Amino acid sequence: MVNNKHKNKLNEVIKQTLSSYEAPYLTADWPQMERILDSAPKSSSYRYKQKLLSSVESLTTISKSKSVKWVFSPYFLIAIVVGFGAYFLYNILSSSNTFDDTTNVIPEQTISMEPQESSTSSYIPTDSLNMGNELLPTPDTTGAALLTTDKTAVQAIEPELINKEIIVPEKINLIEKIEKTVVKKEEPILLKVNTPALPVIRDSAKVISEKALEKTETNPTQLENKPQPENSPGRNNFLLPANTADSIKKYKSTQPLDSL
Amino acid sequence: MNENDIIKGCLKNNRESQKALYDTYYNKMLGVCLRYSKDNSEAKEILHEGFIKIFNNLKNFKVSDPFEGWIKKIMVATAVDYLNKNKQNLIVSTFYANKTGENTLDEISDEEIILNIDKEEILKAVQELTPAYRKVFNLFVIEEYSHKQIAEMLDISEDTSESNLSKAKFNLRRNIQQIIKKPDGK
Repeated sequence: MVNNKHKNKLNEVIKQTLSSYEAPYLTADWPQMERILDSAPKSSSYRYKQKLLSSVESLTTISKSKSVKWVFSPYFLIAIVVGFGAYFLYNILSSSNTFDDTTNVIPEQTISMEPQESSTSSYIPTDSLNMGNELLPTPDTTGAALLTTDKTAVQAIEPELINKEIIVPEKINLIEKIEKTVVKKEEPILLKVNTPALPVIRDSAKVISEKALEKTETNPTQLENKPQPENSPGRNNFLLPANTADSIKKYKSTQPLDSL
Repeated sequence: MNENDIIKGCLKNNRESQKALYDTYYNKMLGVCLRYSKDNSEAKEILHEGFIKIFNNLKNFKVSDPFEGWIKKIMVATAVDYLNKNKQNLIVSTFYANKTGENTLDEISDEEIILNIDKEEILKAVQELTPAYRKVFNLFVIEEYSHKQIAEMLDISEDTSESNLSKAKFNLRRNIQQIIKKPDGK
């Protein structure tokens, strides 16, 4: 009991001594404190908070006036927030949609850019001719381009072929056809080309056909193998004694003039 | 300059008012800081840090509360934070305590201790405690916080707080006895 009393007394002495303890003042400590105060950043939160509080206070005073009271109602504020949220979402969604559209468009474009197969159908590809999928109008004979000057070939043209429509599926196919028809001369063809739609093609076709004609006319082997009618002034014609240049000229002058 | 004028001046960052506040509470607050620190230099670090907090948070002071109590609370909180930050000191002090610690008390009666010891020696005995014991001892015995409050403040369990308090008291008594036993103790 006595020991416990002493212990409690000791604890009380320690407590009283320490709680009332005051350290001696040192004048050198204030300059140190002053330096710390100078170097320490001033609490900007105080001023910021003051400004914030003053602004809130001014807003509340404004809101008290009846004229603008509805502006500060919670419903109005909620509506503004919802509106902004919706606009934001719309922006996000629209941006994502546009991205999808572009991604979808790219393969379509690539598909359309691929060269289409040359078909024998009577429809003209829009890419190659810049026209709709329409049949070419029947050209008149005056606008037709005669691609051969050979009289026998002209005579051999069947009348139904003159007005026959030739549908050109593609530019390349057309050129190839022209070359074939001119070089081989197996079938006399009157190529009629749509003048307004295919000026370039027609011109190029003319050039190509003329070149081909030059080749065939100057090539002696082709001239020899050329099939000739029986009454034509050929080398093997028995009516002509010799196929000289003079004899051919004479023969030509005796023949009637070509109406074409 | 009365207390209200000092507070108003400090709110305006008036240096004279700040000095007046510092001079007024310097002795008491340094005494608080010395209880929580191991030496004088550490106590002054805590003191200056505490005064900075006081100047910055003076706007939060309620006039209805006692000003000195408010300042002391801030100073104690600053001291606890300081000790929590410097855990290196805790390791060193624990090592020192384990090395020099003794589990037996000399047979010096408490009455003899009370008669022979002065406040400086008691302060020295407290400063020789490990920071963990020092914190719990000061908070429980001097500031009269409960173990629950101490546990929340120091982020420890209540059992740890109680255990630290009993160990702190034991070590404090041992430190005091050692100081008294030394011929140059006084």
